[in-house]
Amino acid sequence: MNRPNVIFGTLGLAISAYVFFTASKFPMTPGANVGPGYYPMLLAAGLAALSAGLLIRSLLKMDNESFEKLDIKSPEIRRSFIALVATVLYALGMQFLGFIFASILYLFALMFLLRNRAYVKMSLVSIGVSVSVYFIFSRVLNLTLPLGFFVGG
Amino acid sequence: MDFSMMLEGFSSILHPSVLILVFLGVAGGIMVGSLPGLTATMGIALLIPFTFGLEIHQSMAMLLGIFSGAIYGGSISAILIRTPGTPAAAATLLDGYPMTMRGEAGRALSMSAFASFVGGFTGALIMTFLSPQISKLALEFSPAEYFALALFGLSIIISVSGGSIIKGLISGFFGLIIATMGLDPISGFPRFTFGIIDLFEGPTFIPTLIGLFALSEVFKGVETIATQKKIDNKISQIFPTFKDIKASWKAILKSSIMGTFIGSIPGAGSDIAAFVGYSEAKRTSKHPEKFGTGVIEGVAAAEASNNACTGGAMIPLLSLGVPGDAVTAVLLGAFVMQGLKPGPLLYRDHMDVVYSVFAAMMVANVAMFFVGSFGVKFFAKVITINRNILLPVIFVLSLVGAFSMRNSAFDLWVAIIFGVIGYFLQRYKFPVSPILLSLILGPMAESNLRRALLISEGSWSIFITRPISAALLVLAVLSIISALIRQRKIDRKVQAQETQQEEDGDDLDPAV
Repeated sequence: MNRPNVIFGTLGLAISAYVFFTASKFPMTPGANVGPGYYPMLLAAGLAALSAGLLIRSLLKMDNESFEKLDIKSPEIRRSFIALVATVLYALGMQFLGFIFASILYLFALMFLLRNRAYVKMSLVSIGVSVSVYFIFSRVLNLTLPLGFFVGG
Repeated sequence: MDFSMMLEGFSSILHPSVLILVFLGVAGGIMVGSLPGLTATMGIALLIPFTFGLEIHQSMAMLLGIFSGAIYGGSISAILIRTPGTPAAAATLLDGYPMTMRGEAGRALSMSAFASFVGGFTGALIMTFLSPQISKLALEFSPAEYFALALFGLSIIISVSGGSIIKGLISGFFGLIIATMGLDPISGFPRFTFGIIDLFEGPTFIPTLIGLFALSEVFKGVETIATQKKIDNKISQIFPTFKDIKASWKAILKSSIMGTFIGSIPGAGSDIAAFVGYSEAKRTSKHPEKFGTGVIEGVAAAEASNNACTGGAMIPLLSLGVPGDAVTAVLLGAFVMQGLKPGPLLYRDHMDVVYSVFAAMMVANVAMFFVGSFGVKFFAKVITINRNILLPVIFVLSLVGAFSMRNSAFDLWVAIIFGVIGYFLQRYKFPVSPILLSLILGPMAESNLRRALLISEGSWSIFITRPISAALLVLAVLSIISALIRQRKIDRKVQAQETQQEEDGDDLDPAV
């Protein structure tokens, strides 16, 4: 049995079931022969068949795929998890701290995570990149980035 | 082709302000292309936000510059450090790297820039002559044909997505379902929006793309702490010698034409084109046995072919509205962002845009030749940028890009969620390109399916009684069947190898 494939197959079946039943309740458009639910239901049926196929194949041990182990305790997986947490915090923090300040912290933290220890270089890159991205987007491209409370956004 | 329109196209692109954008795009493209781990798709996804505020011809000029630059850029790292910067450059390293080992990096790189330019320019020319004809044919298409065309595009793309076909198909269906989120295009009924108003237009395309192709890669990227390879090859030559051009011109020409046509088949990308061009040059060479030991024609054939592919891939995109690969799917997204839909109607209603795209493609290739040739020493340095500094910067660029499209914090979350989804899908060998293509082709498939069924009063026979639509559907079925057969062959080979290894292992056991 191939565990990841079993999980993905089950997940696929769950998604298809949700899509199918939600779509079956979409109201019919007057005058049309197929409503907004018709096509999603077709897709759900297709996804269900494929997911069932994946599930059955792995339950019957018909697939010989192998994957890198997802070992939650390994330093590699921890690093990508920490990077995700940092990214979520950055997305939240950008609204309050403003783009420049949040980016400097985020860049510095990620570089530290990747085992850079040259602090002067790290600070210079963090500040340089944040300020220049801000400048390019807001001044050259006229797009708005959040300024945050400190600078009065 | 219409010459006065062509001139007008050139005059809109040759404006200094647009030229600067082309050069910036080319330089940016070469940079991301030459960095291993940043593919052309990811590069365009990262750089697309820089075109948000531009006019359509400006943004197209810049994006096509990025596209051409990225495909060429891949050859720099392939030649110098034996790592293709993009999958398209995998064939280039076969002869490029042995040349570097002999101290001829400059010779290989200058030929790569020259061959890429000839290939790319040929592709652009063929595109200019051919795509208007195809679009004329497609003007006659009814919804039934469009639906069949969308299915055909999806089928090929899924079948060549590599690895397991069932997983490619699951990715494709997942993408198609995601594409139905938002207001129903015909009745306006909100589907799968969970009451979130930001989802009424569906998950925004660019943030989704950035999540799937850029963020997912960097989440994976932080798992390895890389140490940087050193390059100590001096690059003393920036233009190819006449002797080298004379030795390779046949290979370049053949590869340029073949590459364009391979590129124009949806699903066959520049990596395939490069290998086909390379093996054709090897097959017809007077000294095929020398290929792989660092012959100049090898580099020339592979590079001419993969850059010619860019023009080829633009043909179905512009004339039919069907992207040929992941990169052109992103370009299609850029068109849509500007309020234009590629396809035959573009040729009828926006000829000026079409011809400025033609002109931009040619100008981009010229720019690529100059930037690539003169900047090669700089780009060789770029490859040595420490990845542990670069990855965080890509994180920031991805998120800024996702945010700035609609100036929306919601889009940040879209990118992060798709980044996580993409990370897990790739980890468990689900290809992500089918999702991207489904997002593009899904709405086209649905709206034409429903329109066709309206015309036929609900009967599916409309798709098989109309000849073009029937032919496209047959092609779609054939492409999936042939992929299945190919997959079975590969599976057998793998199994045979495994049993072979086990037997070998048994033989060895007593000795150990």
